Amino acid sequence: MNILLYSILFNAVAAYILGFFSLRKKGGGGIYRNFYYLLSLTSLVYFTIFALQFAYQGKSAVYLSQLLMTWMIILPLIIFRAVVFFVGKNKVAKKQCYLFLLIVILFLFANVYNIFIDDVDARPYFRLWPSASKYFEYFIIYFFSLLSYSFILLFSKYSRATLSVKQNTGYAVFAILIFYISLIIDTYIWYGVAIPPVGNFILNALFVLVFYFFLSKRIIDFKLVLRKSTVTISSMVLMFFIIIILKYLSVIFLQDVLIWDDYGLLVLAVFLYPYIKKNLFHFANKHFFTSLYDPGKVITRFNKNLRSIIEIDEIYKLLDKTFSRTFHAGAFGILFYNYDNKKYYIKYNTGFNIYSDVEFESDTMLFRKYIEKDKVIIVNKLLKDIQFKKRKMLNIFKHFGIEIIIPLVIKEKVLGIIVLSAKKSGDVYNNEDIDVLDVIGSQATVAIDNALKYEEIKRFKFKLQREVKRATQELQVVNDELKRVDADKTGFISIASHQLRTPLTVIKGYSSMILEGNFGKLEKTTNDAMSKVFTSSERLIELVEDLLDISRIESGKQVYEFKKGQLEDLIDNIVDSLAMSAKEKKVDLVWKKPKKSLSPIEIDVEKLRQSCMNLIENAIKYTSKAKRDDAQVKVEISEDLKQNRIVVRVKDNGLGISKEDIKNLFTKFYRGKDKTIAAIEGTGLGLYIAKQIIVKHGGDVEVKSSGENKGAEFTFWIPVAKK
Amino acid sequence: MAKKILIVEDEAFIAEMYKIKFESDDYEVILAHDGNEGVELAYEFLPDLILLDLMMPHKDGYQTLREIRAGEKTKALRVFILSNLGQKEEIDKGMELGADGFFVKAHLTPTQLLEKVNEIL
Repeated sequence: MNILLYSILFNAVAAYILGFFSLRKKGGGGIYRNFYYLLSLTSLVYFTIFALQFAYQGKSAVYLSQLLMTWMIILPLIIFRAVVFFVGKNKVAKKQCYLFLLIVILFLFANVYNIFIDDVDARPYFRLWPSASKYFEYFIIYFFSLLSYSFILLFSKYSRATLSVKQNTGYAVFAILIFYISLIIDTYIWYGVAIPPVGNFILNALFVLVFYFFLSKRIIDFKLVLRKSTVTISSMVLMFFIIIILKYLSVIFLQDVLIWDDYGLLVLAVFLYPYIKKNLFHFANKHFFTSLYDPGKVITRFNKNLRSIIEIDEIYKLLDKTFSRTFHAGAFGILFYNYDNKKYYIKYNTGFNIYSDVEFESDTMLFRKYIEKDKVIIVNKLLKDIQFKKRKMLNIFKHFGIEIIIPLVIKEKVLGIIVLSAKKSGDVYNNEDIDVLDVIGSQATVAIDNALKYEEIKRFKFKLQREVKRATQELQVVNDELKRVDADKTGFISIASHQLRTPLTVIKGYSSMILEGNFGKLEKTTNDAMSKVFTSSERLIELVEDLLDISRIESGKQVYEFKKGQLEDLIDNIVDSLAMSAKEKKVDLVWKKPKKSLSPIEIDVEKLRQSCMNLIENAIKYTSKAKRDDAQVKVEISEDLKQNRIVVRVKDNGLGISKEDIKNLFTKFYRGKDKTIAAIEGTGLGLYIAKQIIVKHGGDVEVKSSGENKGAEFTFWIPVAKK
Repeated sequence: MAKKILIVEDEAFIAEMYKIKFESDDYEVILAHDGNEGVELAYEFLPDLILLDLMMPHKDGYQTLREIRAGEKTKALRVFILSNLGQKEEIDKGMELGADGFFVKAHLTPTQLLEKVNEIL
C-alpha cells in the first residue's frame, strides 16, 4: 500500500465518522442530517476507489467503477440539497431539486448500461482507474454545473449574511471550495493526465481540520461515540449470528419453504435489532463503560470542595465547574423558587440565552410529581409523556435549551432547581449521569441552604449594625435636643431668679433703709408695717433661692465637691452662728462638741452646712413659737460604730409634728396642716432640699415626734469615709 | 479725701438706693448705667472700688471686667461683682476673670453691703 491509498482510506473513514456524528447531533433544524448524507456519500466514494485498487482486472473492476459512478452522480444533488437547506427560504431552489433529481435518475439509468466508462486500466498513481468514454463529458458538465450553482447559492448567502451567520457560512463556503478543488484535480485522472492526485491530500487536511475543531471545542464526546459505535457494531454482529443460526436451522428443518423463511428472517432481524442493541448497551454500560468519568471520584471531589465553601456564589461556581467538566454541559443555571407567587427566578446563569430578570411560572403538576419529590427531570423525555406534552413550563424550558432539571429540596421545602443544557457533544444524559446529578443536587441543596442561612445571618448582622447606628444617631439627636432644652431651662431659671431678685432687692433695700431711719424717724405703726414688708421680701428672696436650688438638684446640675472633713466641726460652726438668733428667740441651744474627734466623712461643706443649718434653724423657729419657758433645742453628735456612720440628732420640745405631717414632711412645698405651723414663715422647700443633700452624702434623715406640742426629733446620718 | 466708689448698674432704682446709702457714709459715688460707661468712668476716675453688675445691656459685667483688667491704668483697680446672679458657675467665672469678690444683691441690705465695703476700704 502506498501513501495515496492511506490517504484515500483516511478520507473514507473520516467521512464515515463525521457522518456518524452528524447523525447523532441534535438541533440545527435538520442541517446535520444533510451533512450526514453528504459525508456518507463521500465515504462511499472513497471506499469504492479504495476497493477498486484491489480488484481483479476485468469485470469486477468495471463493476466497482460503475458503483463509483453511481455515487458520483448522486453527490452533486446531495450537495445542492444541503446548500439549499443551509441557505433556507428559497422556494425556487427547492423546486429545482426535483428537476435535478430527474437528471440524476436519467444519469443513473444510463450508468446501469455502463456508457460512461470505456475500460479500467493502470494510471501513473493508481493501479486501476476507469477511463472516460465519450459520454463522460456530459457527466462532467452536469457534475460541475450543479456544483458551481450550489457554490454560487452559498456564496450569495455568505455575502448577504449578518455577522454571526457569516462565520458559519464562511466555514461552509470554505469546505465546499476545498471539496470542489479536490474534485477538479481528481477528474484529470479519468483522461489519463499525469497530475498527482493532491485533491485527496487536501481533503485529508480538511478532515483533520474539522476533527481538530470538534475536539478543541468539545463538540464531540469521542469516548462516548467510540463506546456507542462499538455497541452498534457488536449488536449487528450478534444479530447476524442469530440470523445465520436460524437460517441454518431453517435449512435443516424446513427444506421446502426457502423464499418465505428468508422474508421471515428479515422481518425478525428488523424487530430484533433495536432490542439487541438496547440490551447490549445496558450490559456494556454496566460492565465495561463506567470509565467515561468515575462517579465516585466526581462526587468525592465535589464534596471535598464543597466543604471549604460558605459563600453562595462559590457554590454556584463549583457546581458550574463540576457540571461542565463531567458532562460538558453547554449551559448551567440555578433558579430559586418563590412560594408566594409560585415563580422561579434566575439566581445564576452561564450559557443560557435568557435575561436575568426573566421569571418562570411554576407548573403545579410538574411541581407535585417531580420537583417536590426531588426527582430529576429530563425535559425531552418527559415531553414524550402524554401527560406533560402540553405543559407550558416544560415547553418554555425546552425553548431555552434546558435539558435537565434537578430539584433542590431540603426538608420538604423546595429551594429551587438546577437547570442544565444538553451536552455539547449532543449526547443524551444516561442513567448514570442522572444518578450522579441527583447526588450532586442533594449535596448542593444542603450547602446552598446553609449558605443562604449564613447570608441571612450576615444580612441580619449588617442590618442590626445599621439599626444600632441609626438608633445611636437618633439618640444623639434627642440627647442634643434634651441638652439644649435643659440648658435653656437652667438658663431660664437662672435668669428668672435674677429678674425676680432685682425688684426684691429694691424692696428689701429701701424697706431696710427706711427701718434703719435713713429717711427719717418712723411712727410705730409705720415701722411695724415696714417691718412686715421687709420680712416678706426676705421670705420671697429665700423662696427664689430654694427654687433655684431645687431646679439645680432636679436637673442634676448641682455639682458636689467632696472632701474629707469632720462633721462635728461643721455643726460646731453652725451652732456658733445660730447662738445669737436662738438667744433672741429665747431658745436654749444645747450643744457639746465631742472631746475626741470622730471619724471623718466625705463632705461638701457648703451644701451640708445649708442642710444642717436648715434643720437646726427649723428647730429653733418651731420651738420659739411654742412659747414655752423651757424652750430647748439639743444638738448631739455620735459615731455609730456598728453601722460605721456619724449620727446627728436635733431634738426640740417645740410644736411637734402630727403623724400625717411626718409622712409628707420631706416632700416639696409641703407645709404643716396646723394653722399655727402654717402661719410660720417658710417655703416648704427647706426640708426637701436638706434631705436631698444628705442623701447625696450617702446618708439619710428621719423624724420622730410624739405628737403636737410634744416636740420633734430629727436624726440624720452620714457614712464614715473609707480609709 | 472721700473715697470713690463706681457703681456700674443698669437698674436706676438699685443704683440710686446704693448711692444714697454710700453717700450717707461720705463716699463719693459715681454711677455708670451700662458696661461701656463703666469702662470709661473707671478709666476717668480710677475709683477706689468698683461694684459691678453682671446682667446689663450692650456690654455685660464679665466683658466690662475683662476690659477693666485689660486696661493699663485700670487693671489694678478693686472690682467687686454685685449682682443678683449668684450660682456657682457665675461666681467662678467672675473670680476667674479677676474680680476681687462677689456679692449677691438680694442677700444683703444696703447697710450690710456698706459694712462689707467699709471692711474692704
